[in-house]
Amino acid sequence: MPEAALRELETALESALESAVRDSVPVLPALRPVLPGGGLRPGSIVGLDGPGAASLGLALVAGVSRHGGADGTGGWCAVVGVPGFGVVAAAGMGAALERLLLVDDPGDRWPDVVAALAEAVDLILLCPPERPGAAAVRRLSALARKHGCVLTLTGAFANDWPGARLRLRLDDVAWEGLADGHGRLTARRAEIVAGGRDAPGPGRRARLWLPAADGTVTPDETVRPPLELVPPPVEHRAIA
Amino acid sequence: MTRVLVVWCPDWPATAVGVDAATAGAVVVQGQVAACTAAARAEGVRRGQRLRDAQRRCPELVVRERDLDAEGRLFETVVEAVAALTPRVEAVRPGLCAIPASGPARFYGGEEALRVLVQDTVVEAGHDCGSGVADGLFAAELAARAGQGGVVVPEGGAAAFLAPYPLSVLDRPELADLLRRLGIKTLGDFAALPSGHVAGRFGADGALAHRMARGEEPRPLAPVKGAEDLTVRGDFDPPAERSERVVFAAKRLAGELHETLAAGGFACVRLEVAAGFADGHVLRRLWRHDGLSALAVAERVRWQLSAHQPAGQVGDSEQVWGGVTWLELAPDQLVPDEGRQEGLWGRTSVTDRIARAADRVQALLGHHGITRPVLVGGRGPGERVVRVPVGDLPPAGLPEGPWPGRVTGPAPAVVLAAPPDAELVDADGEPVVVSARCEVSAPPAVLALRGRPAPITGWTGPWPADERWWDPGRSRRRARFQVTTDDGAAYLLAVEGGQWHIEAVYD
Repeated sequence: MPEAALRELETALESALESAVRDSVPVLPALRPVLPGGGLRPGSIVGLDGPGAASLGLALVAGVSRHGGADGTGGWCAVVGVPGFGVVAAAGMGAALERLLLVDDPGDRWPDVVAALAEAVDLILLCPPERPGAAAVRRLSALARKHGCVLTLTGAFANDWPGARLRLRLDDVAWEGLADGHGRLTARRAEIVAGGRDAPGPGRRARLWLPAADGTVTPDETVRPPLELVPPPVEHRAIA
Repeated sequence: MTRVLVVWCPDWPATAVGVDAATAGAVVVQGQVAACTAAARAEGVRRGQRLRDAQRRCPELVVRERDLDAEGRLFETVVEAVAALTPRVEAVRPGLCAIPASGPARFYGGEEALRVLVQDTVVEAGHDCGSGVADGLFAAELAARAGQGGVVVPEGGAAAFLAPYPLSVLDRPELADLLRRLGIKTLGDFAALPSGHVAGRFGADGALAHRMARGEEPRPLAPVKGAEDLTVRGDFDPPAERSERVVFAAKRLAGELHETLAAGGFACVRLEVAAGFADGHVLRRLWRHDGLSALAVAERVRWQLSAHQPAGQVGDSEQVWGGVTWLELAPDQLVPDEGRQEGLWGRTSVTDRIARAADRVQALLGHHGITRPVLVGGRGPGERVVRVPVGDLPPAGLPEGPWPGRVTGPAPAVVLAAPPDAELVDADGEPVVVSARCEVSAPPAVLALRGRPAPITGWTGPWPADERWWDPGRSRRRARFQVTTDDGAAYLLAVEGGQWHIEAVYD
């Protein structure tokens, strides 16, 4: 029976996909296409830069906060050294604020703070207040790897962190809804670009609404319609 | 049989609503007189009368509604005054409180001396009262009402003292009515009946009334113990120079405190740690308790001491400034210990792993160093978030909306804590000004941020927000704009007092 074989194949594929997703730190569904394996590698270093780095940080936090954790019901995130973290925007993208820890001003103790948090949370969004020293980089990278905590770097010194295997940035951004003296900001189209060793080649790209009109992150479907699941055709049985 | 002293404040419902005894006044409930003053009583006003009848007898009657809360509240002053003499006071009801008389009577030199002393104390506190001493609460209450300001009924004399009273003092109208029809008119007659027959004929309540009539106690007095001070304290002589010694003592003190709390069936919500230094100044800090172990309390003491080390002595972290002379742990907000229940579904509790990490960060940066955000109402993006230190409860009673003039649409990704100044100029290079009537002087053309100009591609506004105009100290009046620049960036600007700020960035 070809139908049964197809179903078997489907379940096999699904379980393979699920295991791949389960082994990674989850992201928002709209970000999955650009990330190898559909998620972030546990214990990896992710660099954010360029315009839109703050929104990308929010989106990564929202993804882990909503879909992360041991059983997929939500993980804990920490934000270190980003006093301007847009909490409302993160909540709009789906972050659960009750699982969010903010350390606005770690001062020069930031390596100790990150080390303490790396043991507990699934993702840390870090803006180093100074050029990170080699010892701090080695120690924190090792701790993150050991505990499977994704260390996301933003800010002026994000590129000074060696060993970042994935870099995310936004390209081709355009806000909608604002005209000359009227309207209001409603949504932003952007292209997310993933680069680095984990995303080889010229980089993976996807067009997004970041944020969409309702504050969430959704794929920009006006450019490339996504594949749809088509319902199976109804069988017409001949009447005997 | 215990000796009981009763303090009885006459016409308390009238006193509580502010009618003094010299004016003819009455307190009414549902059109019936519930209590009246002595002056009103002299005019013929009685309890249970209809208000109409009372006003017929005494046209100048001052009428008030009964206020049970005020009665209880005001009576607290009487209880406090009595408690100053002897700590074990039972407030029977507003207007009546009782103390066990035997101990204080020995201390103050006899029952009559105690009775007069208590009466004088309450009168000094500003309330007329009678006080009486007798066997049992019931007899003592009547003794307090008897004579001029009460009498002392000698031990064993309660039955004889009660005998002439009418049955109405039992406060059981149905029983009194029935007994009267049976030809029994006084407590003495009632007391003379055989108790077994009374119980058989009138039931448990009748038997209780019979005991009262015979001068026996229906129930023993149950005074509440005054709130005990559960604070534990340790002294250091000579002053502890090193924090190790203080922390070690803190662990022992915390153990003692937890034992006392457990013995009383209490848990405390917060714990105040106070450390006194040799130079006289005291360091106080509240810590959330929530079932901490003695070790965890000691840890917090160490954090508190280390947090207050003078700057520049980081290397010498074990040295405590000036030396600690005493340490006090005081439980705050005692609640009955009902055990701890973790959230089951739908509520995220801070897991042990997270709590440990948060504790470590708090040890590094202080209690407010690590926070959890809570969304609240507000107009600007920065006002919609309250940061609550981990371990504290989110603030209650925050104002609800609506928030006219709030910024709608997707929230900005960067909310600047200290909004930097910016300059907004029109096509001619003149600064853009918003008038009091919210008119924009000219369409903005260039946004200069930190000296770098960026041409504006789109703008909207002004959205005025006039906040707390009734409070000159905290009022703010500003107008918000959204602008996009040609490099794809979008900003939320606010102009206040002619100065433009970048309030948030849609990064």
